Amino acid sequence: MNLKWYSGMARTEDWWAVWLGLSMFLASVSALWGWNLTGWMVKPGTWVWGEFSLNAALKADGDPILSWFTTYLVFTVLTCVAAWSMKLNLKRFLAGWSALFVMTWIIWIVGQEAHFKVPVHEFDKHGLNWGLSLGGGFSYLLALLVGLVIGNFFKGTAAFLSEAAKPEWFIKTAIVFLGIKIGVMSIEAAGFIAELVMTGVAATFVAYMLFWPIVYALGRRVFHLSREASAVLSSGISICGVSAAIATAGAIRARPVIPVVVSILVVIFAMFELIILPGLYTALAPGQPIVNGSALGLTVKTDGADAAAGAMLDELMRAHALTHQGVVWKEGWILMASLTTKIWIDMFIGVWAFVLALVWVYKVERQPGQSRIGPMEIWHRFPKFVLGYLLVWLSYIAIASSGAEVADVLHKAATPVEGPMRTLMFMLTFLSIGTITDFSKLRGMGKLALLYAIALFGIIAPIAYGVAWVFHRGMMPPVV
Amino acid sequence: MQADLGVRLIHDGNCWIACHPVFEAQGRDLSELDLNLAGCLERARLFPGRTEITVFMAFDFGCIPIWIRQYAYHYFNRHVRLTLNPGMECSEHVSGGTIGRAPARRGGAVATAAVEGTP
Repeated sequence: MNLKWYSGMARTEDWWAVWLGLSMFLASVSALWGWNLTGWMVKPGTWVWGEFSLNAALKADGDPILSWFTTYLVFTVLTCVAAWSMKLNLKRFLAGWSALFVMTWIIWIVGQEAHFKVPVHEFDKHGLNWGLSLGGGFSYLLALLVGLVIGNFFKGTAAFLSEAAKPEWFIKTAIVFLGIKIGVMSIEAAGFIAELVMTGVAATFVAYMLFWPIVYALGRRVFHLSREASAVLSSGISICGVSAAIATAGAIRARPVIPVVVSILVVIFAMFELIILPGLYTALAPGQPIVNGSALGLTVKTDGADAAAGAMLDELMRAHALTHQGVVWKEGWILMASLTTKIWIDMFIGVWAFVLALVWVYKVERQPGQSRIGPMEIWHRFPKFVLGYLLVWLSYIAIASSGAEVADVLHKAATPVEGPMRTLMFMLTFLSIGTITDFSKLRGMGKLALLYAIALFGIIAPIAYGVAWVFHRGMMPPVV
Repeated sequence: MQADLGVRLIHDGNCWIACHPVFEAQGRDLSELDLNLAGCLERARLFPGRTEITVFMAFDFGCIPIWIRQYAYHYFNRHVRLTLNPGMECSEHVSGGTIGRAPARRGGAVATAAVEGTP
């Protein structure tokens, strides 16, 4: 129960994303006092089939095996403390987490094989005569595929992993890590980031105003859903998925079963979006990277699926641009376009639910004696990981702006956090989001699933692309 | 906002239930719950001489499947202002168990729902 403003700080994934993200950021900052608390992080390297070696597949400052174990230990201790605090079953969490961690690394290393990864102009360097040139996107695709196979064909294994398979927690932690990257970007290209943020706000506002009423009207008039079901479904499809469905249902005092059913739909359809849209946008509009990123942010529901789709789009579009145009776009800018839009959407959900509660209580179901709705509901529904993201972003800028030497030391120490640690969290997200997706749950949801599909692909996706086009057309990531 | 009484609010799939250590009130919707809660408080005589009390209902998120908590962890809390009938003759004392589905406006209790957020 959320009784006080600080309720949930120790027992929710949202807050623990903040604590984990800040811990690693502070570890980076400690480099200013001469400490090296992030140098243990290992990362995968490119290797060629037939020439596999651990030294090539794992890159570390010291011994790669030792670094890998240190990486496992640090993340295991941190996540287990969080799991204990959140009152999860610690034994089940530790077992599930360890299995996920090991699978993630195996997939990640496999995905770094040169035939899958390297761009055309590096074929000679690796002695290749063919390749898919998918960049880091292949690792993501593979993790997703393995997760989906487990979630749909090995349900016992999926149940075993379920205590630790928490994609939304992993991605929120990754987003707090990303605060470092946007800090770096803000210093490199302040104008671009400011434009991205402002156009993101505008696009979000337009999307809210368009999506919700259209889907609500469709649900009521065409599918004859109840007011409660229509409102919850509209928010789930139009705004930010599960969190919007829960917030809206709470605001209109709907029976809890309604948002739970909608949440199941959101999670399953997010998987379709994640599989289809990055490749589709890359194929249809390879010259509009920021439009594509923003359109994803407006279309793909749940933070995990959106960030995952954004990361895949970033990899696919950069690989495509390099292969077909010979241009090397900086990594992370397309992902940032997707995330910036999504974060604005997330931030406004509390306000939106608050407004909806006012309308519902005072207009739709008006009763004598009703007075006002308390603004504390906005705080309880505010996504706390955004606070971590903003805090890391602004702190990085503030510290790095204090001098060139300080900026250099901080950048070196923070690189493992915003690089391999963040990518590790993305990989865990891809694997676990597949693991928790069970397509058989769509059975029996005929009318709702049909409405969801029509609304998503017939209304939300096209309008979102149009809105993203209006606000972001012509914006391009910096070239290396 | 200060409340005279705090209760845990849950939903069992059919009814909203306000849980308190010494009583439970339930209703198929929140209006019915408020009416039944008012009747329940009158019978329990927890607030003798009071004509109006404020009840804080905190929704127990344990009613929502735990896998959803990573996406969102707040449903809603509400403050309800209940008008009690001070002249009502109480025929029973409630020390436990469930009192629900009381006839609307039983004993002259009038519930006016003042729905507000958390304190």
